[in-house]
Amino acid sequence: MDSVLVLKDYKTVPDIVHEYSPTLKYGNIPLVIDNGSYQCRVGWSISDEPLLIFKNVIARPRKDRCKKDAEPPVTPPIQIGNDILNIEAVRFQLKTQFDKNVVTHFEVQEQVCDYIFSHLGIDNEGSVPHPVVMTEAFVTPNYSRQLMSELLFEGYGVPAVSYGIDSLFSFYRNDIGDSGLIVNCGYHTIHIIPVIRGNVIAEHARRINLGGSEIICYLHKLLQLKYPVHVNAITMTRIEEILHEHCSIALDYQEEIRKWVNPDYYEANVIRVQLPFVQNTTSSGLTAEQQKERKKEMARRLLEINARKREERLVEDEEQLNQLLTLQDLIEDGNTHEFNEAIKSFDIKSYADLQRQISNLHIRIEKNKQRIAAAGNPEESVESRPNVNNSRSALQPPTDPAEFQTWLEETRAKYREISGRREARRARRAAMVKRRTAAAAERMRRLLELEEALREAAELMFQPSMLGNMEAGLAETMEYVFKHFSPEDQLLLANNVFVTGGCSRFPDWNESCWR
Amino acid sequence: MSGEPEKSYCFKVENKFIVKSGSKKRMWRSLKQILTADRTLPWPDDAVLYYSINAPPSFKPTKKYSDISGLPAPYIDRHSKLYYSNAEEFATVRNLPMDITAGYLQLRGASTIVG
Repeated sequence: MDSVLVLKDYKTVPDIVHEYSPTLKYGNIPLVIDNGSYQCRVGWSISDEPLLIFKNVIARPRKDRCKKDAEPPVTPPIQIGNDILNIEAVRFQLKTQFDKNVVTHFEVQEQVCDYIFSHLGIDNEGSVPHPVVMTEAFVTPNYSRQLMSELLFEGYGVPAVSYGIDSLFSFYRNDIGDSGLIVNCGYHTIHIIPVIRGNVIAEHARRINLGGSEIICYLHKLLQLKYPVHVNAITMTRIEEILHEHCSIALDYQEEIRKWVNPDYYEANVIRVQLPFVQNTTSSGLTAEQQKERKKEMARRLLEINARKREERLVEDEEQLNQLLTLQDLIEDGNTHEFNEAIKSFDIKSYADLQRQISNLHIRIEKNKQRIAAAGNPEESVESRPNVNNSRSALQPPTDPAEFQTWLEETRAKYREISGRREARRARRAAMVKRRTAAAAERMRRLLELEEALREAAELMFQPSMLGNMEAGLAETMEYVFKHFSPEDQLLLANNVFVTGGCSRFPDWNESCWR
Repeated sequence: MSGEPEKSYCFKVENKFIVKSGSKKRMWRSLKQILTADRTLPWPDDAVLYYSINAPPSFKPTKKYSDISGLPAPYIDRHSKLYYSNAEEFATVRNLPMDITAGYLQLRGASTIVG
């Protein structure tokens, strides 16, 4: 696979409010809610497809605290499901009503229910006049079920509620037969449920506490560790996309990873992902104009500082000169003893030394004065441009034919030279621009190599020990479940393994189960 | 709180049924708490409950995979406790900064306080 994969970064589309036709309103049509911990799907029992499909999360943005006290704090609206356009922006404010695969947070559940019923367009006064079929986790605790019933009956005035297990519904809908082993790979759990002659053998069903969310988390963290530079670009949403579209299950994990040791195999099969390139906008929101202004301002300030420094130095030097001159006066007055005392404090050895220092100071002061004068009128220091000799006479072709020819040649040569120089300049500038954008270089660097990470992620289902989870993997648990049945029943189950749920969409599922 | 206009739905009698407006924030039991409470109730012997269908612990020896490459890892770096599969990887392991090694260990569920 040579091509580089570009992430699509899917965007959600907010749900519309669906039409609530009279047939629905007065027909006592049951409403089906598949309340899954990843997605919630809602539809009328008379239609084949659900009307609403959304992620079962809500985002409650925090209030703006930094606003002034004068205006009351504005509560931003709660976003639910597909209302959340950019899930990464509110990642830390996301809430779900689920704890593992069981609903525990009923305040959120109520908000989700509000969302469901309002988007179905239900406008009946005072109640929701439809029986509700709702899915729940296998062996949901009564406490949770009681609260859900309370919410539906008393909060919404629903006439009837029926709970069911999503995977059993799926088993029935897909017409699998009356016996089989259901393997339901969910977002938080994997259920293995044996069904024999139409009866669920609940006591031999097993649940592995690991699912899609754990796999996503694992892959997310793993890639962030591998590419610490791109921590911010590796988002959960992107990982989810990668997982959904490119993950596969190894038929034989041990053999598969042995193959990957070979660099040729690696090169041939590695999946490279291009992270979307984001222009770095953190530099500043200033326009080019403003930046130029700022630069000018800085230059001016620098000049000022330099000028001030020069002035200071000048004053200092002059002071020192005065002191030295008084010293000189001392010796000229014949006051040798005092002079000797005084020069000690000035770190001067002899009269000659003093003379030298005085002359040095004179020179320095003179220089400084010149510099200050130069800085005062900088225009003067700028070399006046040589007057371009482009007076009209130069452009007038000479009248003599021979002279004209040489003139023409010269002019052409000049033209060629000038245009050549211009071309070179342009090329150089273009090269500079290319180098500057760094975008090209950045693009090269923003490649992820997803080799084994993907396989590892999928393998988690079979080896939870890779996550430090001490539970048995999928295959081992299935073996365990099989052991509880008589050989005939084992055959019944084994002949009819029904795999369902989100994680079961990985390619090569069935084969790998049988190893 | 503030007097924000709350959305009201005609199909509901009370706008906020579960947590009434203005009332104190209700604490919700976590699944763990629910299960613990569930356990204390008198159940018949053959009842199947949420906690009773947990998968059995694994009886197979856990396989060790290199933390950096995912390849089978016969070696362990005594210093960082990371698994690695060959000399080349060992060099990489030794050069990893602390936070990355800690991250790998955490990912594997091997970061205990006792170390």
